Amino acid sequence: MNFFESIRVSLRALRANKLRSALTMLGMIIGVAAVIAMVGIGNGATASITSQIQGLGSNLLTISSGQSNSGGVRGGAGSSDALSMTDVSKIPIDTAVKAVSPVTTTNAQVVFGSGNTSTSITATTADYALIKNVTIASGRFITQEDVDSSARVAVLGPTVVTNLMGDANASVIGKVIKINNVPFQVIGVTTATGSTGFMSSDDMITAPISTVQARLIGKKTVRSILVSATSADFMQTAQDEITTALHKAHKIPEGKADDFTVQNQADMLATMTGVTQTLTMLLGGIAGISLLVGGIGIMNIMLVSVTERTREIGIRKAIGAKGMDILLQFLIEAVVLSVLGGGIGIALGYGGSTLAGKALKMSTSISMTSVLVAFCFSAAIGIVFGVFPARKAAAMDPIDALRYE
Amino acid sequence: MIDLKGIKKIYANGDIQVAALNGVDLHVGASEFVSIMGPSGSGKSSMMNILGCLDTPTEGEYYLDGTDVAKASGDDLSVIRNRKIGFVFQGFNLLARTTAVENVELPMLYAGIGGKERRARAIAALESVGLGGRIHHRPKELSGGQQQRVAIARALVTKPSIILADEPTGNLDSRSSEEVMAIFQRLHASGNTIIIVTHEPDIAEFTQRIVRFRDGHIEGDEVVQNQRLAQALVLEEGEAK
Repeated sequence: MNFFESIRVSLRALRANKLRSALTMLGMIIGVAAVIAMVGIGNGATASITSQIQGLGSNLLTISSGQSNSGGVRGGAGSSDALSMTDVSKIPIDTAVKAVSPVTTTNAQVVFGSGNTSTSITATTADYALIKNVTIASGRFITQEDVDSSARVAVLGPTVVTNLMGDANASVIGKVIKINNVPFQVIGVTTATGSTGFMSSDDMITAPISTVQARLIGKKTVRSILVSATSADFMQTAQDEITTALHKAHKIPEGKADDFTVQNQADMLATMTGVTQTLTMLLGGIAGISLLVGGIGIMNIMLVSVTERTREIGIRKAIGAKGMDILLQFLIEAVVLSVLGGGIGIALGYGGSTLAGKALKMSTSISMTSVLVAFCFSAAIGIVFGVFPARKAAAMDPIDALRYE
Repeated sequence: MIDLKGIKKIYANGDIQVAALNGVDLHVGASEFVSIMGPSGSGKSSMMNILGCLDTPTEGEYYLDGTDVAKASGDDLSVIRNRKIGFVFQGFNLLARTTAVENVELPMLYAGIGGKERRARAIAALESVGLGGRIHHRPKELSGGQQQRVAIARALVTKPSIILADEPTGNLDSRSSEEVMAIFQRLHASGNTIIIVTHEPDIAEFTQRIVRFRDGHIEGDEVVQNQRLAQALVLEEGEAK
């Protein structure tokens, strides 16, 4: 009997028992869908974290103030007010350090005409644009003069423009908006970066740090200082220089704990991607186990099916089926179940991860590799778990099989 | 056609050895119509299995169409069964959930005959047993006699050297039995070699020669003097059930 006839015989047998075939496939479907969805979501998370961290700027070092310690109660990192504008001037601009910029953030209600929105205000200096790779779509960024003169000027992110005016392309340069009731003149709009969600660089207003400290916060806080190293090779040198400069400025003796921390963007990236990759592996691994269970389910059903169809096997052998014909018939049944289940699982996993991505507002990415791997894996499971029952069927003695009740 | 020489079949059950067949010599020529009779335990089932190439003898030679098949392996036996032997069983042994015509096509499937020819020959075989109008019925939808006729169509569709029937009327009422025997007589008249295993003397009387088994050897081999002619009471195609 040729191979195509074997396939037709197997398909007919599967159709004859639709419910059982569907239930058997279910194990595979869930397993493959889980693998695809988990890996897709994991990859998406990794990609989005990587792009978010890279969006923070290149060769970036972030200095944040240390923990507060009032009456023995320790606060979280950044809770003390150790950093000040003076520290900014103490960090030398040299071969290792390209630019330094203080940052303080706050949230504020922003009103323009009948539109209003709640967004985050990033208070900083002119070099912020250089450090964070901010590009301007129209108008200009804040300048050193704006900072020196505490000018009430603001640079809007495109999302803020949309939220206030209802249209991202509305002309806003020169208009006056109110941030917590303080009028600011719009001087520029940043280019959309496409980042969304928490800490989106599109949904934010940038203003001179001096103005924000005086008008919005009411104290001279510097939440963090951003430093851009001249290149990746100088990251360590820059970090050392910062530490030395701040030790001197804060008068911290050798051996005493720092009241600030310096974070390296590359380290952060490596840590975060490491975490998400581990999570992806973990989720994929759990899903993989369910795939294995699905495979065992197929083997179980095939074994039942072989026993149940003993008489059929006997008839087929009596009228001329060879061992190989029977083996192929049952093996193909197992492989069809697993591959069909795998195919449906891939479609479901794809749909599931896309839906999850939409619901969680994050991008998911299903790589061709993971689809291929899942597909080949499910076919392999069909073969591996199908061989045993199929061999059992093929090895049956026609006389015993015919006599089987 | 069939030549058995010194056939022994010994089953080992632990330390005890039981000889189901103990030195059987039998010759069946082409176009013979033979019945094999004997009480249970006489060895006629073992004989049937060996004749049908479902089993091989422990000892002896079995020439089928001139070739010794006594030592053939499992897959070779499958091929021999497929080409040379058509089986009719007591319990019909049709595939459930499979239509009559597909059941009849089955042996040709394993013979590697193409789809169109398979279908045409299967329909012709069903028509020859008077079931041309029921080719798409499933076994459940057919009476016992009709199921057995599908099985006969399946047995003869490959034009085998011998048709082997194991208690073909065992599950049928007398009327259906006679119908089935009428078909065998007609097949025999058109030149087929047929061997029937039965324990019913009146069924054996429809054949031309009776071989009697007892305790693993042939006890008697006689020609039927007054062969009964089965009346095809049936039921030609289209007639109501």
